[in-house]
Amino acid sequence: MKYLLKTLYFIIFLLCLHPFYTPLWAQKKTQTIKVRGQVVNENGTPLPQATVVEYGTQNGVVTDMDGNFSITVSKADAKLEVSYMGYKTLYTEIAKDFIKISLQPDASQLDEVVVTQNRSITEIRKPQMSVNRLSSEEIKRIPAVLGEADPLKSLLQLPGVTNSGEASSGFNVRGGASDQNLILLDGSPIFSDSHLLGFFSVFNPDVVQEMELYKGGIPARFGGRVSSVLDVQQKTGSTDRFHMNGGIGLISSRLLAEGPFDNGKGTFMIAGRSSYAHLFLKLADNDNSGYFYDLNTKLSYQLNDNNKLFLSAYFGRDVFKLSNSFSTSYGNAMMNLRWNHQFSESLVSDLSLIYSDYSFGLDLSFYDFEWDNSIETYNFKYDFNHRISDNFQLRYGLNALYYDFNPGTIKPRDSSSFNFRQLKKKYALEPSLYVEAEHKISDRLSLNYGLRYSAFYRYGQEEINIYENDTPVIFNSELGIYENATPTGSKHYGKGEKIADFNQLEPRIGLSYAFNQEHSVKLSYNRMSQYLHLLSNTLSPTPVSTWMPSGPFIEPQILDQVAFGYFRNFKEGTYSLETEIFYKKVKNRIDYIDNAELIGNDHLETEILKGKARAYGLEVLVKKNTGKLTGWISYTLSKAEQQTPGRNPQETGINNGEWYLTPYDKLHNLAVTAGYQLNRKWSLGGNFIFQSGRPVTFPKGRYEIGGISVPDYRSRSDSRLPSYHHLDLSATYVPKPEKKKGWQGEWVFSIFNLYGRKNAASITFHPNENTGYSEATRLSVFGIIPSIIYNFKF
Amino acid sequence: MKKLRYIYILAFVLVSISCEDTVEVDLETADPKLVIDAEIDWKKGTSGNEQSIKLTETAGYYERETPPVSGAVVSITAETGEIFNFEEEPGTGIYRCTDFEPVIGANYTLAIMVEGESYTATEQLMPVPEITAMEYIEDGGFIGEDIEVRGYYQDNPETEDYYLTGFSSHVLPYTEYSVSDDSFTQGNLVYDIFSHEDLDTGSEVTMKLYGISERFYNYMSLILESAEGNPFRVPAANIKGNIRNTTDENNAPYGYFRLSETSEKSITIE
Repeated sequence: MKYLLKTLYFIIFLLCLHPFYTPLWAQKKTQTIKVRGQVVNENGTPLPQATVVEYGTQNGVVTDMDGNFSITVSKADAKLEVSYMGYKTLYTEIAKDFIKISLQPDASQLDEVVVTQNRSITEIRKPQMSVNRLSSEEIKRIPAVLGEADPLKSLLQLPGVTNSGEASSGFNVRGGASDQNLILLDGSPIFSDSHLLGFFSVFNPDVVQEMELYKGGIPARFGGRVSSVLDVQQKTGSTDRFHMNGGIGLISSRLLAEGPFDNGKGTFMIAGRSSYAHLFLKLADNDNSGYFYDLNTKLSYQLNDNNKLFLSAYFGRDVFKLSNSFSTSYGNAMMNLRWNHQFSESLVSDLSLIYSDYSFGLDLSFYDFEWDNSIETYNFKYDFNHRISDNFQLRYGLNALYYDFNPGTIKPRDSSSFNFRQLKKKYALEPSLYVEAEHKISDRLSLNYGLRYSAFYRYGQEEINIYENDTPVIFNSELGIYENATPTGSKHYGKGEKIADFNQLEPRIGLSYAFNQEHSVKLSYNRMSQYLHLLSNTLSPTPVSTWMPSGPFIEPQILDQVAFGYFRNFKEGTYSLETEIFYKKVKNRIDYIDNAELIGNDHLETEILKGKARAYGLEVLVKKNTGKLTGWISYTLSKAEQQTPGRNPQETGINNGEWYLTPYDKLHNLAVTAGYQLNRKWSLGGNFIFQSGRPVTFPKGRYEIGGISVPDYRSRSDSRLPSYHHLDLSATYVPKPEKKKGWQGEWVFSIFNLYGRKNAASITFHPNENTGYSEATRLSVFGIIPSIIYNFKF
Repeated sequence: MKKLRYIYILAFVLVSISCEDTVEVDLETADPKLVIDAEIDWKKGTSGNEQSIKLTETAGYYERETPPVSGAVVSITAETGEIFNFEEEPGTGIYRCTDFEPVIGANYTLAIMVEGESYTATEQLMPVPEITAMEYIEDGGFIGEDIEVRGYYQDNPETEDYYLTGFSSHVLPYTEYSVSDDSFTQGNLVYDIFSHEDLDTGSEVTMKLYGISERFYNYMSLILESAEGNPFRVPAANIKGNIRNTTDENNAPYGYFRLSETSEKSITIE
């Protein structure tokens, strides 16, 4: 609470500084009218983050997660201008108490109404920068591999976002590693974001209402990861009537049902998605299979005027079985019970109880053992949103997150040569407190400032090794290699006994200065800490996903990031421009000694070296927001590096202590996304991506040891793969666009990688299997892929 | 424990559904570096007197041969002080000794003088258990369609052991090696697996097991990973063995001085 008070003093201090400031208690001299309401779509689904503006003024608010808003207008005959990305803007009279505003999608109605404004327009006045929003409508318009709209893959069209190649899981934001992204699904952390090794994300596009990606200037209400926050909201069920929608594709099918219950007091949404088995594995007439499925649900119930309950849940699994050699099953599960309570019109709270689980199981039949590992979290969150005046809004809250890690269990069967083994389980608690203010100081200057206090406690029961000089990795200077130290003893920590603790104050600040309604500059700084480390020396995360909590030998990652940007809307928002430059650095970024054993190792501290990471770059986003042709061009020029120096002058560190490029560094990254409404029945979509090839190490020769030909690598990441590019097109056909009731269908035809470029996912160097001569082999994942999907609703 | 890398098995599935082709990549060639291939193998039941050490240099990646290094003075000194000299078969870079005396658990020191620089390494001769049995199954391998050969051996429950396993067969142009340790199989009857789609009736498969040190295990893991070309990993650069250049510390050679007892067994598919 000390920090909360400090922040409050700081806020009051700022308020006093401002000479034109009107005290809160003196402000409401003129007649004001409070209007409350909810914004929903054509099916009655609430729309979060819709904009509600008092027409003809700068006075506006944004709807909350459940589409609700509350606005104070100055006159009784005021009109509201309500807009939401992908929807027709609506103008409405205000009503005495509660108004429900239903927006219609704009795509099918372009012929009738020229859309004058929508939410794609760049926010000029808001201090939040480095954030990108994608609505489910936008996600569905982006052509995707195999025609399956994919929320996560659509992020790659945004500036500052890349991944380490096709069909790789994870994504990288502003040169950060993929374990540095906080992925939230209705507030619950998700530890693995993809199905089928990265072909698809775990997010069913029908279920996603909206997602927001914070790349910088991350508000104080988020914490725990240093690179980005991806906040994915599941849609709330329709309040109007029961209906269903779904789609049938070549890889998977989806079905979603939603509607009200108990006379509209409650709503439900339940959805499922499943791929077809055997698709990828037509290797033989064996019982091979590989498939995934997802189940999502969200229930809401209005207890009374001021109290609402929500229950969100997700369960997803990937299942592979390959004849009698192995089978595996893995995935995420989560459940969130949230109580939304309105103390008054200006103070709303959300109390959440969240459970999440990621587990990976494998049965390796040819060695006769089973393997399991998992991460479970229990999360208590209490968040307050306090609107003190139209110019000053506070958010504050607390969070306690408990982790239970099982790094691995080996269960042998009778004939196995393996012994039973339970790797040491790890336990940790991450409590945090935050306060965050959004403060409009004048028409031109707005601030968002906040402070987060986070802590991390590692608890027993665990046996921790002791090493000479506290050094679990020793450097053999004669041979120039790092080796595991032999422990000199160990210390036992009992159940619940504290093993290590860390804490961090994380200031966050964002500022915007609007020259006028059309353009502004923004500046932000954020410090963040991350107490978990993903153990992976592969290029992109694998489903095994073992995480290491900070502890006696591993310190938390600490990030500092600054960003500066210029934002402009042209021609009344028809076009907009967002440019940003950023610089960030991360302390305590780990890397691994050569030949590190990261699986089945109880003493991971003997495999890890501490280093740092940095990234900097320029991002440009140009958007066309309205008209028949909409879309954007995004370009990023950036560099992402890591350095792992020796701990003393004798040690070499990694790459002789020099900076080296991370595997996901992309110097140039250009993405063009466009949609064109041809007529009422046909719309077209296209995207083009061009990226520098990722950094790789090429051999500078070869040598032979015991008859084995070994490529001679001399330095790390000294080359790049060939440039990566592809063009994808899609066409959507709506046979009966005028039909608004009953069965409505649409066909989506798409071609991925139109000119069939064989993009190299990797180039490896090894001898030919038949001749034994050394050669270079390119692995490319997707050639030209046409596909077709049928979507329906009723 | 390298067998646990099969936990990453899904990555292999990805490879199986994607497309691989051979490409021309322009590669630079670095300054040549000395490669010392000093492997002393003592097959169970033999005297182990005849040994050889090979000196070569690194070559361009696409070169078919690596150039031999001639004119070196090569010797191994036993703990007892006895010196075994290795004489070159002229011009081949292969240095032979006919009176080597292997002793399990003894330390040996390698000394090489070539082109004005001295190299040295010390290593222990590591024991190995007998390969007790070989068997095969018809529906083995990754997708259950290939012949799969297994070779069994008894791990010593008293010691931490490391193994190098080599399978050779006429279906392979080179020996297929793997390394393992006993951290998950301590004291058990352990098996190693080999399968290949071309194995058929009449095929002969030979398994060779080497006792190795922990340091060689680490070294060989890196060598094998580099040689196999794992598309999902950053390869290790400048893999360092246990041989020092005492004339110029910063110019360590490639290669390793290893001494292993070995055990060998073959099976013919019927």
